[in-house]
Amino acid sequence: RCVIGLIRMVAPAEGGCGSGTLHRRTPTTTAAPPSDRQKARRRKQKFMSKLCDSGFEEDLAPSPSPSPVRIEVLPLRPHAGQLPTWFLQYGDIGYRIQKEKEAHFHPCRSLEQQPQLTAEARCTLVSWLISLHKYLRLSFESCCLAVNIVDRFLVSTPVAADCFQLVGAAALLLASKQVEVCSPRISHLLSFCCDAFTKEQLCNLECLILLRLNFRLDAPTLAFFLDYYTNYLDASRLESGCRFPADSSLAQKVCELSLADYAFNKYSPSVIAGSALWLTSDLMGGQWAGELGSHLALECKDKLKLLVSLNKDMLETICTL
Amino acid sequence: MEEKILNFEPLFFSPSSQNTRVLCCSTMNKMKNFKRRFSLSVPRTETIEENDFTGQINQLNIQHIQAPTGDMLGPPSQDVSPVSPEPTTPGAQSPSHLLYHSKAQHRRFSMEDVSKRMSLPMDIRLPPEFLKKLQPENENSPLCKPLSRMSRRASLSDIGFGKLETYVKLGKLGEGTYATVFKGRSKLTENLVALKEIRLEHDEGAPCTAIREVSLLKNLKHANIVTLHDIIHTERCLTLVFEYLDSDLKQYLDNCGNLMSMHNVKIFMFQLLRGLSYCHKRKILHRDLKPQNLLINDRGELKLADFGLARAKSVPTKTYSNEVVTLWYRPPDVLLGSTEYSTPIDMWGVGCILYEMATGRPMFPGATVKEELHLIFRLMGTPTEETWPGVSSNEEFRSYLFPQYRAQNLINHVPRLDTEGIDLLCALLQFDTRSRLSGEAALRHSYFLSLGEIIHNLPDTASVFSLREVQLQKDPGHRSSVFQPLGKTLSHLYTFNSRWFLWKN
Repeated sequence: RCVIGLIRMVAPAEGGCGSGTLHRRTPTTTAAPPSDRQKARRRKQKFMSKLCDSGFEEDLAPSPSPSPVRIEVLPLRPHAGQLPTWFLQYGDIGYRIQKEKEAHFHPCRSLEQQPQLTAEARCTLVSWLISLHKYLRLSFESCCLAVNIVDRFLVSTPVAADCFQLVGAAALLLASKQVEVCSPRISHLLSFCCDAFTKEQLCNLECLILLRLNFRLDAPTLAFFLDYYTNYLDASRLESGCRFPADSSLAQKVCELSLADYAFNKYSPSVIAGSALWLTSDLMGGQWAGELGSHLALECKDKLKLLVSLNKDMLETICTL
Repeated sequence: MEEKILNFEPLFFSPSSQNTRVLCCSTMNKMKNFKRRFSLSVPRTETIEENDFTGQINQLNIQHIQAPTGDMLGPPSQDVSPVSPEPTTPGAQSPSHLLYHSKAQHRRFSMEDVSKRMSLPMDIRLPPEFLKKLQPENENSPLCKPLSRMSRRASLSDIGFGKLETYVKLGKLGEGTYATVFKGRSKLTENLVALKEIRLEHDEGAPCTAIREVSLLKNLKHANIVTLHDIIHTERCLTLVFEYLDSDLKQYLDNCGNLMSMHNVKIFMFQLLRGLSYCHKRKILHRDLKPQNLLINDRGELKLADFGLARAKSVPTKTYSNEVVTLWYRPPDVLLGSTEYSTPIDMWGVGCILYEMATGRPMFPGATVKEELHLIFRLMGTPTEETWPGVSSNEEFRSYLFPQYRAQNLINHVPRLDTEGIDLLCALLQFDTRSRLSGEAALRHSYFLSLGEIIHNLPDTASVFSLREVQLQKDPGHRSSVFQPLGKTLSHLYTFNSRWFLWKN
């Protein structure tokens, strides 16, 4: 088990960012329109980014500056309340295929063989990835895939603490290349790591991850299952004449929390997605329209409930709803 | 209840009888299940295991007895052992026995047997160095230890997987969107392959098209999707090894003078839809369907290729090498700027390809987005709120100010297509993505009824030609080789001969 050396080679010589300098979970992530004061601060932040440890401020509300990934949404999209075409045409069989595939892409106990990394370090990294993907306006699927890539890479390769952030950045780069129209620019990504790493290091690590994962990036994600179950609930609601779509944004927040928490590493994405929707339905005082979950889903739901109660900002979000 | 437990207790639960009784008294119902499960599973598995074990031992013994006589293993010996060993008694573990056993194994490692035992493809040719390597190892360890993980890994690369030396480049086939494609031959199987070389040195690291193509194709195992055999990673290059198909639908149409047999059109359509709906079920879009991307081999098998754009949400108008991407097969919703990421996007292109196969000319050969839309609306009618809900609020559509064309009757444009075919074409060329036919539904369209019912139950990896009733016919426009344009390879002649052969039978 001396693979750390291999990783260390891509780590910066001058020490770089320790995992401790990574960013904490952002307290507010609501998509409020940015005020002038925020804009001013962001301008300042851009200026300060070279000085600050990790390159950006604690709270990352969506940036007002046009990001390269910005896509114009045209009114050709299906009307609200309508179900997506794919769900109607292929939903059931597609879901079954992803469900079968899920186990092959599920990294269990990814930290078990890691000599340096702790669950806290993973939490910090994933929290950073969550706020970063929002800032770059990437899809939730990219974010879930990035976390899956990180975890599967950790199973294959021991990683030194000082280049854990580089692994996260490379995973987000790969995930967005796989899923998005445009992936973030490498230099842009590196600036979020306080320029502690070079482009060459990121590219080398990207290649190494591809090889270690044997190019298998087409993993079923938490986002897929959340999407499918939401559509499924919507469909049964539409059938029963109820016009209110399921509130997936709260469920997505719960899923985000679970991504960052290593305790949920053992649950497969489909179980977490189902439990998260179940929990939000409970929290909103609604009737659970989905199937009553297995023992595992119940256990996961209870843990998610605990996790939500531990995160104050989540409770605040619920209260405002 | 109590009785039953007592009945089987002495047999199976004797050590823990106390416990089971307590459980039984407290929760009757649970116990019922518990008990049933136990009575079904535990004792039986135990006995089965035991039986298996003894069975294995017996088998081993039989092998030990029979191996020396040469009945069971290895080819009917060329060397009918001149030095016959002493007849071994069951269970006799003499050193001489072991020695002989290893000799018997040694004899087994002919090329055929190695590939048979390792369940390698029948056509694989193992390099002699590899065979040599196997043998001394076995002499050293006559007890034939199971291969360790490390040695298994090493042996895969030993036979040439993942190595550039295994493939001989034969000639350039063309420049792809982000790669160069060569024709090649595998030294391992002597089969022709297509080698797609992707340069990895880009400003933004590994190109996303390559990442998508590899990661998606690794999961797609279907008779109508091109197979990715191997991936070779060198420092600057990533080489993808694909199965080689000598033609594509564009060339095929050219070669038959743009006059295909309508029966063959149906078979090609079915194969295209089969491959595509397999992808769509996996939420994978092709996004760049065109005749050049539908490869065709000498048996008439059609395979989807070039998955580079497959996951992209928008189709770029220019490639990396600044070539213009064709607009001919692009649906109006994408031309008008929709970024909705869904499967109907491919289905429009399938309709265009059906038209092209049936008429021999592209359906909407527009050079610009405006011209493309204009051609579409002139034939299919300018969309209204009725034919395309939401179109009137699309800014881009309104800015073009198209005249109000009425939809034309497609039968006048595709006279060779029967009524069912026209119906299928119309269902594929719907403006509204929600009413456009899905790939899965298209396979069940009455147009394909004449292909029979069994064709729907084929396993994914089975070709439609594995059914005897599905055969290509001679294309009426097919000219003899004399009239073939210059520069066509011999493999095309072969294509025509074999097609002719299929038709005759």
